[in-house]
Amino acid sequence: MAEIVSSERITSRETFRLLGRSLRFVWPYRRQIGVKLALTLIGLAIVLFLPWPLKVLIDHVVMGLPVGSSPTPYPPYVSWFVDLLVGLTPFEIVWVIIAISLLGIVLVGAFGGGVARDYASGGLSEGLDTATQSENQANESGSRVSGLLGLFEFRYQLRITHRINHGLRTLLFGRLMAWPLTRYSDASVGDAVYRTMYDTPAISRVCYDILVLPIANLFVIATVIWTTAHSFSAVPTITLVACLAAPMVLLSTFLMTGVTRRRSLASRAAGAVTTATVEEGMSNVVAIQGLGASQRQRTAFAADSQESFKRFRSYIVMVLLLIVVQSLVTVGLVFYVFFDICEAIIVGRMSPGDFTVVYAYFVQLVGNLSGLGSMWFNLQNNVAGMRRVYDVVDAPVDADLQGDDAIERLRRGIELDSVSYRYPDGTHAVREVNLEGKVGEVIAFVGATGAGKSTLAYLLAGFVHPQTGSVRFDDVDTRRMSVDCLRAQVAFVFQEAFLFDDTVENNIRMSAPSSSHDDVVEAARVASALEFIEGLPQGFDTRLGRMGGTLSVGQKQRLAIARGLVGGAPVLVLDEPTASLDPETENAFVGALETGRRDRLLFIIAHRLSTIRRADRIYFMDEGRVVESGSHNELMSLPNGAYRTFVELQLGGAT
Amino acid sequence: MTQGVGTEALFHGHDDLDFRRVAHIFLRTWPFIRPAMRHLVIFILISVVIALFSATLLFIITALMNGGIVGGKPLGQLHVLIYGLDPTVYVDVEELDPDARRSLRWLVILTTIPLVAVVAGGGIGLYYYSVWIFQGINQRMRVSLIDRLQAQSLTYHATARTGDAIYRVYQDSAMVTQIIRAIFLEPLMFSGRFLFAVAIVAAFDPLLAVILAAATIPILFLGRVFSSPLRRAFRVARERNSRLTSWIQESVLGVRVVKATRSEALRERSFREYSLSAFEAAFRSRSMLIVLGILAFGANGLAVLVTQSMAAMWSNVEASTFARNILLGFGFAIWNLGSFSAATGRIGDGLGSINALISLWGRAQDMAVGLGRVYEVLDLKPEINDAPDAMPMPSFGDAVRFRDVSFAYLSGRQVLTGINLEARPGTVTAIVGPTGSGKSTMMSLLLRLADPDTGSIEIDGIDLRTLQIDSLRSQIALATQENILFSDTVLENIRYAVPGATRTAVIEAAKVACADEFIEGLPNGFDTSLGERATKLSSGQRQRIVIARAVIKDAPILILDEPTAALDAETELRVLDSLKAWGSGRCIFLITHRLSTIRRADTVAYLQDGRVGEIGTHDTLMARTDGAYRRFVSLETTDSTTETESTSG
Repeated sequence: MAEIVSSERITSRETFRLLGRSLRFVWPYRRQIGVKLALTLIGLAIVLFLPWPLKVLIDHVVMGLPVGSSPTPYPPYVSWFVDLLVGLTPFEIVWVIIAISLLGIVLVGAFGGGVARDYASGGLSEGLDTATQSENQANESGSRVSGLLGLFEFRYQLRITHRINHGLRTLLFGRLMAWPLTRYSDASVGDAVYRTMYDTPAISRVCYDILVLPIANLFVIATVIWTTAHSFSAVPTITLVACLAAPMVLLSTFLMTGVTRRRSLASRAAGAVTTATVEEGMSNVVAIQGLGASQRQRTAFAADSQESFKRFRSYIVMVLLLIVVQSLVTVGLVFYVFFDICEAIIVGRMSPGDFTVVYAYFVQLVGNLSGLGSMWFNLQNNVAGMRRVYDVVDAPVDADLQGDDAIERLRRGIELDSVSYRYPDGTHAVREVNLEGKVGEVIAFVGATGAGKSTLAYLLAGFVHPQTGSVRFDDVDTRRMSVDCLRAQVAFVFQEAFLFDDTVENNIRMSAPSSSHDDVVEAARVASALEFIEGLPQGFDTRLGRMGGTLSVGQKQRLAIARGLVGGAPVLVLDEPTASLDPETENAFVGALETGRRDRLLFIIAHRLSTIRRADRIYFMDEGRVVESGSHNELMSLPNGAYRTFVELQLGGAT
Repeated sequence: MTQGVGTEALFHGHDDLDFRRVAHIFLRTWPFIRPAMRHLVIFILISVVIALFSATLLFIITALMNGGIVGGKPLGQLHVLIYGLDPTVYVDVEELDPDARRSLRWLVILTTIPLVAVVAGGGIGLYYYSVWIFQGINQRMRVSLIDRLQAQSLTYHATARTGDAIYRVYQDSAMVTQIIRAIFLEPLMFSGRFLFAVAIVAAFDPLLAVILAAATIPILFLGRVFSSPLRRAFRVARERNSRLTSWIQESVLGVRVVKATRSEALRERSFREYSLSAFEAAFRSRSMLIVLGILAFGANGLAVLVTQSMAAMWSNVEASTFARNILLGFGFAIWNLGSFSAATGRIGDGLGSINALISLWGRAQDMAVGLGRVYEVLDLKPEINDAPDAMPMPSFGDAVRFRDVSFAYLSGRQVLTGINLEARPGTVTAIVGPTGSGKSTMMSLLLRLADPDTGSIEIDGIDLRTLQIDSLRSQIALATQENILFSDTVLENIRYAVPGATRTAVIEAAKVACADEFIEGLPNGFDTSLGERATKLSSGQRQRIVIARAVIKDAPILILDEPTAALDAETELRVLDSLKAWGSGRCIFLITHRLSTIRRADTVAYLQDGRVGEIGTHDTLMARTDGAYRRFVSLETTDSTTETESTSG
């Protein structure tokens, strides 16, 4: 169905730029992230202490060696503990270790050399594509330990993650709402959902990856290297290999980032397309059923979904490849060191318990190195999401295109001075239009379909901005006015009514949240909507379903009109909203507009003569230009006038 | 709240899923799994083989490494057999001499290489294989969801929210890929590993095995206590997320109105609220999951601690193991470093499996909730179904008849009452009436988008309900007032319902709809992509594309539901003339307000409050003084200009 938007390659420079922005975004949370880091380091320190009690257990209980006779020196952070054990019997040592392990279980849920170790991870099961995995990212949290510390750290981080993501989602949603209307012609609804819900977590994830992960990893790596150098200097290769592991693991990951990044991008784009297909299918279910095209819709969805899965698999291949490379490196290193350690134990330069410590420390070392290496890898994975987020943030919004002057309620009127507007694709919609409307007047835009009437109306409300010429409200250029001030002046009723899944009353009240119930009822009365609203089960409190639910088009349209009326804005633009009203209703409505006419400037786009005739001035448009203007009678008196021809055609058809 | 109530009840109906319901939900996935069963069996077999292979190798290596090299203790007969060692040097001694210990290093490396190759290579291959299998299952489920949603009648779609549908299809059906793991593969694997561990440890000492088995009691208890609150928490989290998605979707869809009414801030405020409440729910549910994990680990860790300490003490005094005759082969006849490592390794693995199982159980609660929501959609019977003996629609020739048709979307809000109408091929029937009088609903019933509550609609004397829906709809072409276009090219939009149509046929249809001129003026002509919602086109242009889409279907029945409302008079005249020329021999229904259009109809049915008020030709109806139709028409014409009034007679 929709085409897949594949972005071009992201350069490393751009990656750094995006990272910088993300860091600036989370800067307000620096203290919390600092606390999180501290918690992580405490947890890790305990984890690094844990192999030593196990060594004690093996050397002095299992092997029965006397305490203090170990061939290798304990590091200072352990020796205080071992000093406590001097002179104890094996049986007593076991009790001390049990006591300390119990403490470990409660505090950090861990003891021993890596076998009996728990960690806190709140991740839920995820589906096998990027969208559902993002759900877990939005709830990114975890701890390298468990127990009370793990629980506290998990909850603390989850709160930060939520706060960051909430802020970002809200920012994004706000920007989406503030985009100029023209942006929406190409942007899709499914895409908006995808960006707001699934792409935003990339940023919090990236921030942990940059701010917490490397420091935690380096802490472990440094401790391991320092400890091996201090305690196991009897076998120099241990330290040597520990140092060598770093460049090898890092290099192997670096080489593979480019491909992975592109695949991740492609996978996400395909996911968005699938969402869009579902969304389109659901929104247009009437059309699809009516056309008998359900089968076609199903095929399209199945194809999109299949494509999205396929791309995810190709991404997975890259991830797996990376794991293979890293495990080969690790196995090679372990073999190399294994030989020398065994030799040292056999000749008595190291004890059997040391083997346990070295093993546990190497597991930690490789784990943290690959964490560091895949940091870059993960960043790449998230860069795609970040960019899609910043695309939204960076796109200019209405407010950027306008100033912040405010005017009081419009008093005199609106003037358009040789205004031209071209759509982004180059089509000229409005050319050199001059127009004037005073408060109290009714102005009609008339012309053939596609003549530019709607675009002209959009220019009045600042939905689009003229490339040349100016639109002035009481002599103030609209570009200098703030968006809010401009829109407060103009109430706009669109050709196609759109209702929200809310009550009738709230739907009407949208533009003037502070208006009273009586105002709402009055607006509904003027829009000829009162009668049917009162016939609804709960009257004004009836909740409308999705997009208006079971209301007819005409009923929806009347609610939309009431919505335009309720704020009492000085300018009211009716963009052919009466097309789906029957003549009786339209007549009643247009008649009702006479009340309050003196305080209002009314622009109306209509085809019905009965409505057009009420206008003080008619602007007849053709191919974006105003070709004739004046009152109905003036224009009708022009022999061979374009308007006259138009009217005669209309009436000729009507009678 | 009428419309709201339906959906809300749907969401909150089953807060308390009991175990039976969970089991039921799990069973329901079977049809989606079955096609992948062969692959799953292969997957399990390979997994088991790899697991047994690696466990055995690991045991052998532990004896070599911890017992032999590090501890210097003699090996078992098994090693002699496998590696062809000299028993007098490696088995029948008190301590191994240093050279013998050194030589064992090569054996460790030799044995580790196949272990790594099989575990890493096989593991990665298996992972990719499982991704592929599960995606296939997920795909089947998603497509089935879409099918079901598309098949729901309008009554359902009037109340359901699109965002909710998206969320269900995406997030919830993805759970299927996990469900097979959760209920089938992983419990199988983990229980297998646990039992294996218990058996092995029993050989070392039955007391250890008893402690190991006893550790499961508090864990099972925790699982039971936590299940129900977890499910509730997950359900709330999912619902709130779904509501948030709906909110974004609706806001973007109605962004024009949001802007025009300056309600951006209002939308954002609610968004903020929904987003916060969604996160709050996520926080609660995930914290609960963590607490379960931590408590389970506590029980678990205690067992490990006790058993490990006991094993350490026995090793200290070099006590003999329980099944020493069996373990002799591995060199584990007495407690020493080798047997200590082997036994604690197994204990750790066994309890680790139980731990993994309980955390899986916690996550399974989330899956149950996710799947429950999927089945809420899948369990909806389409209200409009082919009858069991439905037949294809014969070619249309005689008449379309409405017989005493009554219909209400929601009980109590009658839309149509006692409609009687007959339309024959070669005629144009105009359906006229005030807004909301039920004109469009009549046509929905003809398309069987819904069925009448009483009465029947017949084509050539056959009740619609006995016809196959697809064949019925293939005979009817529809152009609606809400001109819906898809984000695709003009060409594809026109031939949407007839994918096989040639380009020539599309151009021909566009001509009939008077759309060819402006289409050719578009940047890429018929190949211009319209983008979502086709906002680049004016309504009039969109309407003509929609008309072309109806024309190309070349169906004997054509419904035009105010498709010309947005056309100016001149264009409308051209379109109508062209349609009328094209439509000879077809049965055309026309819903409209425009007199110019109505006058061209052979029959006018005037609808009022859901009843056919008057029926006849325009002239007969106009002849009735005081007729409702006449009053309707005069309203349309009286405010026309006076100078043209004389010609209107």
